[in-house]
Amino acid sequence: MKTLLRYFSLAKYFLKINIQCGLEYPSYLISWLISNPLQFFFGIITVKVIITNFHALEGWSFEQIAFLYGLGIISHGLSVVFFIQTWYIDYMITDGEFDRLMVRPLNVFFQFCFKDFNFVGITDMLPGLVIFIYGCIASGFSFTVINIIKILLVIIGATALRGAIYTISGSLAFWTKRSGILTSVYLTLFTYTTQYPVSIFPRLIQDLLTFILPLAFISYFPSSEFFGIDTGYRFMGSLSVWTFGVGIAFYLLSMTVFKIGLRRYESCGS
Amino acid sequence: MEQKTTPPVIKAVNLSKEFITKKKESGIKGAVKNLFFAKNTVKKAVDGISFEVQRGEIVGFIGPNGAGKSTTIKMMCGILNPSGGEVWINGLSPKKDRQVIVKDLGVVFGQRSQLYWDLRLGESFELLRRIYEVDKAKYDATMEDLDRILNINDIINTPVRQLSLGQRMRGDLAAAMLHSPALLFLDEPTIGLDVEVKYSICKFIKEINKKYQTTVILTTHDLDDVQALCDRIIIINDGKIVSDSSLEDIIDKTSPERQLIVDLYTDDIQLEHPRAEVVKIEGQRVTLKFRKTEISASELISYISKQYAIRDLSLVETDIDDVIRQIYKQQREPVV
Repeated sequence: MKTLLRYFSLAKYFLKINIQCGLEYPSYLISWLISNPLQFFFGIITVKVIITNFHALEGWSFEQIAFLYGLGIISHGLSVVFFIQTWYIDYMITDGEFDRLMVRPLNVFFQFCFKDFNFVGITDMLPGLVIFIYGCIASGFSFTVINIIKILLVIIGATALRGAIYTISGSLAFWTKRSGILTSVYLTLFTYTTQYPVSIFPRLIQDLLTFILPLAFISYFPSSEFFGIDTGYRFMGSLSVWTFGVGIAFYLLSMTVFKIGLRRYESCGS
Repeated sequence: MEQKTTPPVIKAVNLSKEFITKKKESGIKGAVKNLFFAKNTVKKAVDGISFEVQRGEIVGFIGPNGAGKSTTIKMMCGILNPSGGEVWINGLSPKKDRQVIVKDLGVVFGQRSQLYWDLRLGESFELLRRIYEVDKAKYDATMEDLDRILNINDIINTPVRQLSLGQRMRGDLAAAMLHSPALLFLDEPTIGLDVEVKYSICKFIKEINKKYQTTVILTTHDLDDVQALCDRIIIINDGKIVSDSSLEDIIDKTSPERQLIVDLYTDDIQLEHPRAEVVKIEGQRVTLKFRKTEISASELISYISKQYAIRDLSLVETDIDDVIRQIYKQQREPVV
C-alpha cells in the first residue's frame, strides 16, 4: 500500500514536470493546435462527400460514422498523450536511456510509462471530441447514465489497446534495435480501421481485426452496439465492456512483452 | 586469520560477460550472405575478473577503449547480468536485488546527463529527492554541502539546456550525490572538461570521500585524474585485469625511462654513455633517456659536465601515459 502511494505521488510529480517542459515551448504547442485538427476535419469532410455523392456506407449514415470517427480519434489522442514514449524505444535503447532508468530504485516499466506525457496529443483529441459530440447529437444518441459509463469504458479500453499495441511493437526494439518503422505502420492501420466501419472490408480482414489484432473493438463494435447495427458477429454481453476487457488484457500482455525485452537488454546491453 | 568487521563494498569473483555478435562479411554480396548465414561469434568483453573494494577506497579503472571497463561497471550496478561468475555489492547480488542496491548507489555517466534538459536544475533535484525518498531536512543539509564544493546555488535556477558542459557536469555530480550514496560510480566524469572544472571535480571527489567515506569507482582516460585521486588502479585490457596496485607500484615495476634535457654552449655535440641513450640533438640542446635503476641523474649530469659546459638543464619525470601505454603494449605482445 505504501509503495502504491509512493508510486502515485511520483506519477503526479512526473506529470507536473512534463507539463512544465511542455510549457517551455508554447509556439510548438500552438502550431500543432492549428495543424492537427485540420487533418481530422478534412478527414470527416471526405466521408461526407463520399456519402452524399454515393450512398450510405454498409448501412451506416453520415451522422453515425461521425460518431464512430470521433470516438476513434478521442482514444487516438489519449494514446498519443500517454504512450508517445513507446514510439521511441529504439532511440532509448541506442542512447542508453534504459541504463539511466535501471540505476534508480523504481520499477523500470513505471518510469518508462511516466517518463513522457505528450500534451501535443490533446490537439489530436480536441477535433475528435467536436466531431464525436456532433455525431452524438445528429444521430440521436441518448445520454443515459448507462450509455455514458459505456462510453467511458470504451475510451479507456480503446486507449489501453492502442497503447498496448504500441508498447508491444516498440518492445521489439529490444531484439531488433530498430522498431520506429513499425509505429508508422500501426498509425496508418489504426486510421483505416478505426475511422470507418470495419464492415467495408472483406470478411477475412474483419475476422483478423476481430480475433487476431482486435482493432474493431476500438470504435466499430461499440458504435454498432449504440446504433443497433448488425455486424455479423455475436458476443456475450455488452460490446463496450468487451472493448474495456480486450484493452486491459492486451495492456497486461504488453507489460509482459516489455519485461521479457528488458531481460534481453540486461543480457545484451546497448 | 583476522576477522573482518565490515564486508567489502564490492566483491567480484570470476566475473565474465560474453556478447554474441554476428560476424559480417563486407560488400553487397557479403551483406546478402549475412542475412542468411550469419556466423555467430562469442566475444568475451569481460573475461573472468576478480577483485574486492573496501569501504572508503577510490579505485580507478583504466584501460584502452573497448577493454571492458564500462561493461564491468554496468554489471556492478545491475544494468547487465553477468554471463559467468558473480558480483556482490554490500553482500547483495545486483541481478536479484537491483532496486535495493541502487538506493545506495550514485552513478554518473560522463557522456549522458540525467537532468531534465528543459527545466531549471533545481527541478531535477526535486524529482530525485522524491525518487530516493530523502527527507527535506537531510536534503537541505546535503545541498548546503554540495553548494560549498560545487557552487550549485549559482546554477540551480538556470535551465539545464543553458548550462555549459562544466556546469552541467557539476549538476550531474550533485544529482548523483543527493541521496548520499555510500558507493559512487563515475564513468568518465571529466571527459571534455577544462582544467578549472576538472580540478573542482577532483576536489569534490576527494572531499566526499574524506567526509562521508564514500567509496568511489572511476573510469577515465585522463591519467591526471587518476594520479590526483586514486589510491588504487585497476588496469583492464581485453577483458582481463592486467594490473591492480597503486600508481607508485606500477611506475616502479615497469621502471621506465626518465629524460634529461641539457643545454650546452656548443652545437658540436658528441655524447655517448653506456647506460644512457641519446634521444636527439637539436642545436645546442641534447636529450638523454635513462633508467632510474641503472644510473642516477646526478651521475649522468657530472659525466656530461666533464666534457661540456652546461648552460641549463631539466629533468623530465616518468610520464605516466608512457607507463600505461607500456603496460597495454606488454599485454598485446606477451613475453615468452
